[in-house]
Amino acid sequence: MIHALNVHKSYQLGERSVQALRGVSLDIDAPGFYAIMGASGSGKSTLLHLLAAMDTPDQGTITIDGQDLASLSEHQLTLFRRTRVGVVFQQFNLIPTLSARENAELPGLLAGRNPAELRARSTELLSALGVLQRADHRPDALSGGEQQRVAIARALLFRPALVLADEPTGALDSASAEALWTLLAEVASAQRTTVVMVTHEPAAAVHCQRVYVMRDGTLIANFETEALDARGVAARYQQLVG
Amino acid sequence: MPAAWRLATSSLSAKRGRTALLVLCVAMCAALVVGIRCAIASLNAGLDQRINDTLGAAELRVEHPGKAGFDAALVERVRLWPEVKLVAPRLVDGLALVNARTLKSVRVIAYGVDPAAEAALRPLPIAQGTWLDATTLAPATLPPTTLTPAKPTGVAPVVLDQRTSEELGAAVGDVLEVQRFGAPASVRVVGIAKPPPLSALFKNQFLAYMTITDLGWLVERAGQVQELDILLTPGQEPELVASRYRTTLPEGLLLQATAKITSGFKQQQASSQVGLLLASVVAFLAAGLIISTGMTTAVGEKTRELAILRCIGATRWQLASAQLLTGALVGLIGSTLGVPIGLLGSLALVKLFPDQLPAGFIASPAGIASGLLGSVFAGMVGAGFAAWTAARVTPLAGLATRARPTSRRTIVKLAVIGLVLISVQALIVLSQGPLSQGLLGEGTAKLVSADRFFWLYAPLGVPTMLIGYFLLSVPVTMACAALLARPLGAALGLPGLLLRRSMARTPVRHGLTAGSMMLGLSMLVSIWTNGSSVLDRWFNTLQFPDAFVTGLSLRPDTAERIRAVPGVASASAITLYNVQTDAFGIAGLTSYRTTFIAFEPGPFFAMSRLQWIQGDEATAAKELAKGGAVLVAREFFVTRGLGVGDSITLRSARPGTGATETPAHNFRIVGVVTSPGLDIASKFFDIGENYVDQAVNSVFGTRADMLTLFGNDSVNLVQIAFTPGANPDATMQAVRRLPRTGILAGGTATAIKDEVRTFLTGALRIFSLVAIAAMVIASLGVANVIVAGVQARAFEFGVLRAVGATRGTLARLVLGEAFIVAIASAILGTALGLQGAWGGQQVTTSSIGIDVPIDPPWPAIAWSVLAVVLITLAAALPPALGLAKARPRELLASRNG
Repeated sequence: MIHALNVHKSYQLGERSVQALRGVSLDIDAPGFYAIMGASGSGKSTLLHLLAAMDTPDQGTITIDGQDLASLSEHQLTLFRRTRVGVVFQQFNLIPTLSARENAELPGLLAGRNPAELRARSTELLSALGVLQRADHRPDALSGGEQQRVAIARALLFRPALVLADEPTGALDSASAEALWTLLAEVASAQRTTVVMVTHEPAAAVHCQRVYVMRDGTLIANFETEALDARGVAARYQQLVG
Repeated sequence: MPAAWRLATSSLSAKRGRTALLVLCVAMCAALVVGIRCAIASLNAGLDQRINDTLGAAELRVEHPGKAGFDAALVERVRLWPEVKLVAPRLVDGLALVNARTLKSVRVIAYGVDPAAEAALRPLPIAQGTWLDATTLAPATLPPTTLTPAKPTGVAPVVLDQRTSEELGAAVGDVLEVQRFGAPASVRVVGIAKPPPLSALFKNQFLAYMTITDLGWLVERAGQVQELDILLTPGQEPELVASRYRTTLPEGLLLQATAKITSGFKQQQASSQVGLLLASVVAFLAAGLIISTGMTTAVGEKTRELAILRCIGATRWQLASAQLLTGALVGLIGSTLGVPIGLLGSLALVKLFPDQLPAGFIASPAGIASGLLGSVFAGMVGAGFAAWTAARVTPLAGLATRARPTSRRTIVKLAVIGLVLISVQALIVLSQGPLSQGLLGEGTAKLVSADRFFWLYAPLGVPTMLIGYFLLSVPVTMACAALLARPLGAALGLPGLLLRRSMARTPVRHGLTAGSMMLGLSMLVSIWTNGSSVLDRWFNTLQFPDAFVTGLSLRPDTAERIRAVPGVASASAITLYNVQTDAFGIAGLTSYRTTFIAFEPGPFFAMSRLQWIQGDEATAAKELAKGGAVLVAREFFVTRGLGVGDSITLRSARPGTGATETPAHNFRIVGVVTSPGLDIASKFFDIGENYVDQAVNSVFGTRADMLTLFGNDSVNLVQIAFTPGANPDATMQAVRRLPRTGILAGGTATAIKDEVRTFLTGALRIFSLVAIAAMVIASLGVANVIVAGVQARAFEFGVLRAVGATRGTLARLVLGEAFIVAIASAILGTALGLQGAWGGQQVTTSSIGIDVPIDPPWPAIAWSVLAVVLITLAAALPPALGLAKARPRELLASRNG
């Protein structure tokens, strides 16, 4: 599913160069719900952006669902993002001038798909995510949790093999966040999708089956969370990062 | 492209107020263009109507080139040509009529006609009474030599035009006295005709119609006619018929197809359409730049949203096409509003000025098409930069945690590109003057010919200059902010560097806003600079003679008789004749004739106050006496470098030779002089249809050459010098009262100059209204951008209020920014206007030779700058007040930025 090998990436920040990733390798072979954890500046968001084909590495290879991203042109990467990967951001996910349904259908609209088919699919997704009754409302009329559900519906429109979520609950209250983590786990299970979530919250990582830990631009370790609760995850994480 | 359509429509409907401002901007521009083009179409139709009323259905015309009279016996000869269906003869002369009942008098242009033929060829619309009774017509075969023929029986019937009847206070049935020497005479008013089209523009003309016989007797020109208008039988080709009979006419007469008579005027009308098209393109380009400001601002605000779209798979082209569609929709909606408003505006003009626009309302198809297409063009131009900006958004751009400020490099790049584009116009203009002299040496050779210069300047130089200044607006605004922000901030009571930092945060937005406002000011500056330069440095310097009189064909002894009038020191007879020359005009667009002013050198030189640019009076007089020599006006020297020792080719057909207008007559140039304004003065009176045959500037030659080469010895003008201390008005009254002179109109130099000056100033005011309308249009775009700026920074303003800034502080901050933008736009607008005036002056110089230094009217410019500042502040006031009213919590709840 996800195969990243020796990935390097640096950015220019003002006058200095920042090495965000230093030789990251990651293999995820089976569908499921996974977390990437690390301190601020550890490179986890950068890794997520590269996996989402939103950026290209300076060095190394990334293969998603059998597709080597380095062989794709900029235009092809755009089309790849449209149908093969779903992305959920922390906030400002939705287009404020479109309704919830239109936001969910947006990748299909961009692909020029049949409107009737899109409507059927968006109805199915919004219903499954519990926001069908809000389908005709604009984002400013939805709560934070509802907006994130709509964002997830959009991410799942084309049944992608990979869904990436970048701190999706960062702007939500704890109850909504809990609900959203549960939802993502259900999506991974029911849709047989690989969901990778970037988070810094142990309570979120508990819902995942495996946690990958990043520090200073490298993936230092990973562990299963099956027998752990939030405190256990936090302790294990702390042990690894030192 | 359903995705792009959905994105475009949702974007427009989400911010309705701002969309409305952009749409209104396009609508007003479309309304202005459509309204002006429809009004001009109506004016042209009025001129066409006037020409048609003058020529009627006539296909051929026989006349003397100098409008002299000829034997009426020709009428019967022409009637016998098998191709001829109808002949309408005319005699034209001046008559002084007095209404004994009201004691009012007026000098009329009297047309002697064949009533039946006239009614068939060009029926005069009668408002009251009847047309002339055909039974009073005497045969047109009276012996031409009779000076005092038997007076026709009865009181001669006359039809007055409406203005004449109002001037005299005359009604149908009134008997009017004809002021003349010899047997007393009266005429009875049998009808009052509706005024001819555009009579309000020819307000010096009072008209009357009577039979040829009656007029011939009254003015002692019995047996003469002045023109024959001919209607052919169906199926005849006028040019063929003319060529068949041209050489059979008596010496000195021209036989021409009427289409040829009007061909020059038609060409002028066609070329004016090209000019209008160019002006419309520039107007919509300006509107497009204003829309570009608004749309680019909107793209800047939505960077995050665009980045999200890129993240989920929108291609660059989809984002760009959404912007282009938005622009096209703004243009289309704007045109659906603007075109009807423009049509209504034109309709209103027709209702308000029926005399000046007698043809009525005309929905010009070209005007409507330019309104529709131009609006969409403006929208697409406006969306171009926004589309490019949107397409450049990367998926990660919106995920950046902090906004990236515009780099100094971007501002420098804009400055460099702007200066390069501005210099394109400058190089084109310089190719006509200093650059040519620098590279080709002293003299008048040009790097680029005048024709090529125009076709480079209008479609390339002007647009690049506009776009260049628009781009330059960003660095100029930032410079103004750097200089003014601190003192202005202190004056407004704003803390520290708040104003300066606020301006520096979004330099492109503030800069393009200044660029939008500069356009209207630049138009005002250009119009007034060029206009006042022409008025003060050219027209006011023309040295007119003291006075002159004019007529279609003055009697040969008129000058001599005028000399005998007390108060007149001297009088000189002049013949005016429009000839073809290659000196003026733009190839492919228009060409102008020039007036050949034929004089008697002695008295002419004594009276004319010529200033000699090249040559001198003594040498020139000797050369002129030899024949084949002319003086040329300074404008010939300016446009074509023609001077003493060169030759000039003038073209016109010599009557009776069967030639058309191709024969070329070469003249030696023996002097270059400043114009004494005789050509302007004759156009002012416009007794004939001089507007049909537009001529600029003049050449000066002898009457002997005029007769030999052009077969014209008529006298059209007599210039008059007063004795020192003479009362000009009293002297002119005495001159006009001279009988049997053919004088139709006259005036003193002061009176004529005053009227022309008033007309030119009025025209400047009308053009200024257009410029002010442009400023109002721009203010809508500016309001859009200021509102956008306030909305984009709502959170920031909320923070300011939260930490203790008052409502007044926020409002003063917005107004302070607007003031700096206004100052920047004033600087840019003035510079653009002056550079535009410089280019415009060069166009005038190279096309018609009027070469005057640029003399900016600084007081008028200062007032215009004040207007720009006030309009910009007015546009900023509503959003500033709205911001001041908002509560801190509302501002902080905003998620934009």
